[in-house]
Amino acid sequence: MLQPARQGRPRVLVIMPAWNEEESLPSSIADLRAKTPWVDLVVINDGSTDNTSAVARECGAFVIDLPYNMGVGAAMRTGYKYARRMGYDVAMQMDADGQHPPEYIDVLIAGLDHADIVIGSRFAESTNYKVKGPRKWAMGLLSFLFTRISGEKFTDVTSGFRAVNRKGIQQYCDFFPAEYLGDTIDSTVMAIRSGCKVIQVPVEMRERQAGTPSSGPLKSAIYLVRSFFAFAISMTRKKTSDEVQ
Amino acid sequence: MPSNIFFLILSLVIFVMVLVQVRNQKMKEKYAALWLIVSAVIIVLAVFPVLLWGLADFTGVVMPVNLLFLLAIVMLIGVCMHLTLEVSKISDETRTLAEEIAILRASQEQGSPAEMKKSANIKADSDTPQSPKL
Repeated sequence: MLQPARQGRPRVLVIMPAWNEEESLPSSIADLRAKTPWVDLVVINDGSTDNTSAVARECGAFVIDLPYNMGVGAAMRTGYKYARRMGYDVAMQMDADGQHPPEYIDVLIAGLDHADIVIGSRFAESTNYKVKGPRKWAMGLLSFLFTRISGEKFTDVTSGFRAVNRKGIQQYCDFFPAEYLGDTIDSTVMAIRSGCKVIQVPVEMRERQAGTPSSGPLKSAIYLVRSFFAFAISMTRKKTSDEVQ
Repeated sequence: MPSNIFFLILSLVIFVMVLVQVRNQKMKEKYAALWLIVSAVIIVLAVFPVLLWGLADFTGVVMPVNLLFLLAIVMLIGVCMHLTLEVSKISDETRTLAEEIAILRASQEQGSPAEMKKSANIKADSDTPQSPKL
């Protein structure tokens, strides 16, 4: 608002939801600052019980502390609301665990030339990211369904690496459920159904810097059921209206 | 008919309890209404059991008391659903409030991301000896 970050560049806000990420946060923030110094960063501390907030502030990040743990979806919605309020042209969503490389921020933003929401997805090939069993079926099924309803090609719709323009920000402010999986699947389905153009661009992701990924056969099976449920429910929901609140 | 009198007393007690709560402003009319309707129906059926028998005859339920239980269960489910809906609505509202408060507090304490970035850059600059600007 005060200074146009750079001539011709859109004003970009990177939203980083963080829940107990004090270990990985400093390197993620430093990486982002070093590679893309022109973006603004907001860390949404989702009621962490460790020092996430203090660590993020030490790294010079703008931190929004949610008063209690509200889920990734609520953290993201807070970020998008903030982006809308501050009038950003582009809002981006990145994980705090460092698996989303800032090098691809430009690629995602470039994708916004012909879409409202750009999802940075892992390559089908040439990647170190391996999934199998129910989780793979879930991803395959979801990709198929998303390709069906939008006409765009999708391979991994649950990726949390996204860039969103003003129209997408508005859509996400209106509809972003707090539930896990709802936050990626539900919100994307509703965005597509209310007329946002959603595309995916291939992105190479890194291993997580810290923390453990959720896996295991039972968890994966639950993931499959929940993701399909989230999709089915959101397909029956009434579209969000075009009115701007 | 002692069982009828028992039901009558029970539903009267519920009725009065709900009314007292509303009077003491511990319960909103919105939520009291359902309870009052439930107890009113039971009062009417307790005073005029003929109604219940007639209704049982009409619906083909052999034991009138079973119909009474059915009605009671349906009404309780209704009350429960109503409460669940209200809880969901309230949690949505507190979520919105929490988001709003978090944004306001962050803005008040830290300014904006752009300012943070600027001051971080200045700090980084002043750390390096060869750039003494500002």
